[in-house]
Amino acid sequence: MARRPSERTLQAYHDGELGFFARRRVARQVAASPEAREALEGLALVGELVRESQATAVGPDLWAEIARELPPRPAGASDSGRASLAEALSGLFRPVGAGALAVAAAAAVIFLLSSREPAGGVDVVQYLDPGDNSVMLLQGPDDATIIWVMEPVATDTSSRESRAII
Amino acid sequence: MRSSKLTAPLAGFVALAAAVLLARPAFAENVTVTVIVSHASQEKGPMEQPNLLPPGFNFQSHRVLQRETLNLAMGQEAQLTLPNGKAVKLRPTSIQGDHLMMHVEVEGATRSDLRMRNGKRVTIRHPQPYQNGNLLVHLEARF
Repeated sequence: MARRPSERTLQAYHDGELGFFARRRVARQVAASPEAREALEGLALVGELVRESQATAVGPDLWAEIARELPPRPAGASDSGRASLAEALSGLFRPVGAGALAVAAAAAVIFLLSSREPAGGVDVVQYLDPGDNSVMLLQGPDDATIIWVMEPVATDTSSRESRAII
Repeated sequence: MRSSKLTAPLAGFVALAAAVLLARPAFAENVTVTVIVSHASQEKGPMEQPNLLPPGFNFQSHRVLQRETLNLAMGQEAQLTLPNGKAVKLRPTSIQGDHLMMHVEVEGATRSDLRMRNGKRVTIRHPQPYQNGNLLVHLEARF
């Protein structure tokens, strides 16, 4: 009976990082294991979702949703729209890297990227299924990782599906 | 003569030390997970353990509601109930190098596989409003 390949091996197989013989061996194991096939299909789905999300812009309704969760701005602050909000966010949160996260559901998952170096918790979240929720990954004090699940808002679900950015 | 008297206990000590060292991986398969459930709100009130709060949010109160320390074996699932009645399920799955892989489900929030570092906290904010604020689930593993 063929042994089921490890998650790491499956990921390498999926990413085409294995050599000829290793690839053949894993292919045999995948063929013999329904669980491995299912895991491989999951990886393919995740890749597809990530690619789709990378090509998607953020809708203004999501920015409004994020703004709703943020602390109130001090009186007299200028209202320069989305750019200032993005600046506030990048100052507020350290980014969590996109490579480590696998998004399993077609819900909005937000990564706040900036030009700073990757955060320490870059690979903490290996898989995340937020259901119908929108999620921000934040870097907290003491190198903590924060999965900030936002309160659900009544929006058109079809538009939610296209609001993930990475 | 004298050296042989010393050699026997020394050999015993070395054997004992080796046995302890060899047995260590078995103990290392158990992990200690600390779960803290807190309530953060923008209403004024007591501010407990503010270091658990994410920076930048305008919280005016923070209370620690629950604290559990769980000793779990690999594959063993633990379940807790949050004050809002939702369940939290934890299941450590493996140790990979310096990281603990753990499956975490917070009912009504997220399902996730986390690659936790020793002593580093992961906080999950529950989206459902609770007592004019929200619940935060803080997880920290020692292994």
